[in-house]
Amino acid sequence: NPFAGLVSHLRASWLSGKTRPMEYRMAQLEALGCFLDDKKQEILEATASDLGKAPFEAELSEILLCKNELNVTLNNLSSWMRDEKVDRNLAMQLDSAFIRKDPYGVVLIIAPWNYPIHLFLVPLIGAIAAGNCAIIKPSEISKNTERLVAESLGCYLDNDCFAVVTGGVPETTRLLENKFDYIFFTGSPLVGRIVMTAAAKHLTPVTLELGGKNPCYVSDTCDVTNVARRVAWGRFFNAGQTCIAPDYLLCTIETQEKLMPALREAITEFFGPNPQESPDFGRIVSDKQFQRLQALLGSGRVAIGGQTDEAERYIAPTVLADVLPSDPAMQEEIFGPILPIVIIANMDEAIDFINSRERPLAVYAFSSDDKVVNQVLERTSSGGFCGNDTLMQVTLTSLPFGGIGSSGLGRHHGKFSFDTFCHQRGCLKRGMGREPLNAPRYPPYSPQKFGVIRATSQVTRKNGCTLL
Amino acid sequence: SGRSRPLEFRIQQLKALERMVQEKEKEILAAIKADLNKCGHNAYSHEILGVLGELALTMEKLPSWAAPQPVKKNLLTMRDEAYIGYEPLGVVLVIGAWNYPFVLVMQPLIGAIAAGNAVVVKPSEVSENTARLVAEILPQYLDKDLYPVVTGGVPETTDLLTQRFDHILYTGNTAVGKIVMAAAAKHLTPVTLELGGKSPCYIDKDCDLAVACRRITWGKYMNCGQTCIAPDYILCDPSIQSKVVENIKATLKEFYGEDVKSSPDYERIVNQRHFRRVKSLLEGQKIAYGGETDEASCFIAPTILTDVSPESKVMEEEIFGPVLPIVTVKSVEEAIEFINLREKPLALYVFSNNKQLIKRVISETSSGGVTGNDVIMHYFLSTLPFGGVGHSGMGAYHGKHSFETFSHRRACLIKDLKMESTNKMRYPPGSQKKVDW
Repeated sequence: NPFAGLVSHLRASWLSGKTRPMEYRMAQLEALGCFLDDKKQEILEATASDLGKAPFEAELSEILLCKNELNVTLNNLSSWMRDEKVDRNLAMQLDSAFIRKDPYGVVLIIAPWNYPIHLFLVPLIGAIAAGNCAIIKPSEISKNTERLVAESLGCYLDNDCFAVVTGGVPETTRLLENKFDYIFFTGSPLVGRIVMTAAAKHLTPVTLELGGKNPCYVSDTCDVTNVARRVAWGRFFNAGQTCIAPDYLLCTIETQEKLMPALREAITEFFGPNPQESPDFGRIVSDKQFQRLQALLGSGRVAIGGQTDEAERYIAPTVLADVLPSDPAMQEEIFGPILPIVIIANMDEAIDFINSRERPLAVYAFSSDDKVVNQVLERTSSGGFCGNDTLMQVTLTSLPFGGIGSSGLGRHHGKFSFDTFCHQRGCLKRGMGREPLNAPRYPPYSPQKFGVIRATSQVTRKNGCTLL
Repeated sequence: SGRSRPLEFRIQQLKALERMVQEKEKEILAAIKADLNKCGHNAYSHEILGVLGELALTMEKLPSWAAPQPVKKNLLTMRDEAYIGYEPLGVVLVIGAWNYPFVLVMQPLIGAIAAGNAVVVKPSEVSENTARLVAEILPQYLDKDLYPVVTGGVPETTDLLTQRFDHILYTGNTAVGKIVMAAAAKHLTPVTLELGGKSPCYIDKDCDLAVACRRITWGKYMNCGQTCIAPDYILCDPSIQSKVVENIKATLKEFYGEDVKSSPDYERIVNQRHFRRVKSLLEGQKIAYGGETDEASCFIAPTILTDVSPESKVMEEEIFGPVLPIVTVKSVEEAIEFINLREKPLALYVFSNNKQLIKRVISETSSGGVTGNDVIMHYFLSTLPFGGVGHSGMGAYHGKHSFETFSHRRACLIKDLKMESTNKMRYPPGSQKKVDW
């Protein structure tokens, strides 16, 4: 087992207790902040090499959003760490009852290639804040970022407690043979199953941030210009390689007619007449992904875009019209700059369509009519929901970010990250005195004793009727 | 169909459950007695009282638990609606255990119903009378389509686990916990595993031994030791070992009289297989008290073992029986080290007059839950999450924690279709000016 030595080294550091004091955690978190500040240029360059990521986008998702998470955590860590007092019942009024936030121990964070810094760093913030040691496994597909992280993270974080492991599928498989106290995985549902199965062997709890096809319903009553901008922004950000991107559009044929010119205009406004020349439009991460996406272009008909350039792994911002549910573009998460439009007759049909498929990471609904937005929200199920915009629900650190069903398990961001990486331990501290108060619970039993127990522990309904 | 979602429906089902528990009290107590030889008083206070309390609490608090929770917004989202919505997961599977056969299916069921789910209930076949009763009475009170009961043993459960559920709550042992999680992994089903382990009980020299031993005796020997959070073994200084034994002995006589076997308040081991398992743990041990057994009635007397070696069989697996080993340690450091070398337990107990010492033991160890200066009691406070860590489990429930376990917390952000100017900052073409702003 090639990683056994590393894992046991971290476990020894964990057992020494050094990651537990608040000062230590704050210092490591501050160091992460320095990493982001010092290495900002390198991060922008690495992500540009890996994915053609526009510096604006990279600075937003890899630096700014990460700093927000860091600051929220640094600002609140001491109150999050505090023992949380809980309400007591009558019998325990004189006792001390609270929830302790215990670190798990040694955790594993596996990150994907599409937001290669953000998607390991944000969970890492939670892991450190909660007092754990961590092994970080960045994606080998975004290889420039992987190299950057492997070479420089160790200069900022305590190497006894935090380590970076590089490699591909074989290395990750061997890594997963080890026992971890928590595993945080971001990636595809297919690999999510493999990770959870490996975790089951050690009874390791997991958070899985997976994906799916995020539907975007556009009702007939809406301002198409604004809708087009917001949808185009969400779809084409990072060349579509975003787990919460609007994957496909559902609308009536009339709305498709109205939306198309608006989408064309938004795309031109964003990327100019030839997006391949825009510094703001990304590239596909690998040849494999490029070929996969190219094959999807045959679905429906290309209404906007459709151009590709294999040498650059460039796929133009593309909108496919009249796509059928049976088309290839509707069989898998697209994860690229292609937006299929599926025609439905009305909102009810859209909702039925959404509900007949796997529950996605996000559902989007656009309408000037509040009731429509609320109907879609209430009658569907998804990790998260955003009305009248895309992507924005994950920029609020106070909202939990996570999936449901095959889009994932667990949640993080803000305090949810901290909660994810700690064991909430229920504690009750009693006094040694007042032993006579315990007498009714001891054998030999009697109806009198029982009466006392019932009286002191029953919970009555507020409307006045007692239970028994 | 969405039938289980409206709050009124959920409360109506919970009310029906309450009626069931009240009306069928006799039958429930009889079934538990048949399965575990548990007397009415014990069965009522362990299994029925808790269920009724949980029902009352849940029905009262459900509207507030289920209400959308607004969250703090930032400058960019100031004018938007941002909140967390609590939604049902879908179809939940609850697998119960045999040692508290009624409460261990009922409590999860209450939480799952409250959260708006449909629930498949699978009581343990080992406690066959309770399983049969639950299968019979649940459909008489609850919606038959939404809350089916499945009975059967290992083959039926294995089959059930190939199906796709939206959450599985399993109470039982570590080995089967792994099997449940592996089956759940195939469908990416979240799980709550309430498992077990060896819950240590450290007795400090500085404590009221009489009181400590009485409380420990109560928690250890209730349900004939078949409690997941029973103090499994004692750690104490060799100088107080014999006093501990004396105190426990005295308490046992107080509780069960001179002839334990004839006390109506002392239970039996659930079946022959477990009887033989527990009995074999006594081999080669120094029996300071007890040790009598009777296979025909699955009777094992309350037993204390002294100077137990950490390598012996009784210190390997969770005892789950009325056998209490005492392992001597010379200091609290040694006790903490001893505990930390082993798998994380479901519960940890520490008895001391020294508050600092208790604080230290808690902060230098890890366990599902803790009670200081008593045993078991943290289970009874529903505001505390009840669950394990490491091999003792994952996830938690009881009270509001049940509701949250069985709900999906959906992040909701509702913006206005107008107000587009504030969005202009984020759209390409990007420029340094925009980022700096």
